[in-house]
Amino acid sequence: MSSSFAYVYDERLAEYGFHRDVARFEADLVGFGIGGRMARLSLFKKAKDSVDDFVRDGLRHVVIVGDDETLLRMMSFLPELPVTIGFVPLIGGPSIFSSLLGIKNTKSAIQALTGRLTATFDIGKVGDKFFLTKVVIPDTRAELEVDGRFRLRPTEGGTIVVSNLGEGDPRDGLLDVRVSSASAPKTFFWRKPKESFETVLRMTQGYVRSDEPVQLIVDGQLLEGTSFKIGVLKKKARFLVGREGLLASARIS
Amino acid sequence: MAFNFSGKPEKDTDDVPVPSYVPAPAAPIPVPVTVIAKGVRIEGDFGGDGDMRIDGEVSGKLTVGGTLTVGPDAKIHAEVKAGSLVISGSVEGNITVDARLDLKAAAKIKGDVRAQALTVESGATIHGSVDVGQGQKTLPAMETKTVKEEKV
Repeated sequence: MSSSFAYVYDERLAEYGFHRDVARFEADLVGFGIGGRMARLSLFKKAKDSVDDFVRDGLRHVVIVGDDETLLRMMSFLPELPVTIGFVPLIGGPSIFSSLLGIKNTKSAIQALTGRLTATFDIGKVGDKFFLTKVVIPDTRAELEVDGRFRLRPTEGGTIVVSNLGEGDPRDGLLDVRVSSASAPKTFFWRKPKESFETVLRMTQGYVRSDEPVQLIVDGQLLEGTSFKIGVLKKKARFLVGREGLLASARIS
Repeated sequence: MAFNFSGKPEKDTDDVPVPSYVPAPAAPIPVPVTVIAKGVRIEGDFGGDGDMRIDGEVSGKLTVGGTLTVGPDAKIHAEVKAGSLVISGSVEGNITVDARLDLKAAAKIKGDVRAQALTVESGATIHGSVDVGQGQKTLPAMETKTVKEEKV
């Protein structure tokens, strides 16, 4: 069993404060018979090189040990590899993926690894870069061409959010598009405005075009340019999941 | 054994003993109603199978399988086809509705209208022909007629 697992640690786990947690976690892995190869992310070694080595050696389960940020960094290349992805939120703190994957803590993460239950999600793509959650184009008048059928533009400026997971369902092969108008009035929650100020639609593919350079925040990372292709790859990434949580709590606020 | 979100068991190719537990399928996330908000302009062939609300601007072609609601500030310059249609804003273009068309008091239409059933509030304006009862046995009295009803 142990031969099919590889673990990729966030570099922050090398800090003194995590030594005890890491030691306990590794002892649990050995105890449950799911120990395996290990790599640590660092500034000087590309994570992809480590995972490529694991795949060449026949390892099929790559487990990300850290937090949401660690997982999102790895998601930029993991979907193109033939691996099942595990997640251990050892760093702690708020985690949207913990609730999505049904992994509340290290103990339930180990149960997910040993349980071998999997769920397959769609993955978004901007240019050649993968994303799991969303693309945000803040404060823009950029045009979004949707599925080659029509063009959408916030005439007074607004924020465009293209979601795979969060507002959207990462199992439907579609991306959710939400455009918040910059001219939306401030309202109290008990006073529902007569008009809608958030555009909501769904697409499989879109092009962002702008005369001026625009910034895209893709899973927390910044891209800049005047033209981007955005798409979705159906059932592209497989995750090891816990027994509870899953998509019942997958929505991100 | 593993599972996918459709709830069907999924074979893990790894030859490792696994629990016999098969979880219940996860609840589907509800599909949001399509909305085009005020401050957004759409150009082209736009539409969808479900319900839709428009408070922004649409030009080109608009095809909606469910109920289309056109808000009071909406501006539509398009050929419109819908299952049902409620209009409070302005529409320039021909309108075809499979079932019922409701024109609210603020509705302004420039174009020909075809619908199975029609209700018009006082104040709504239509510049074009109105054909009600299409697709059914049309009575002579219900044949094409032009209605021009000015706002009171």
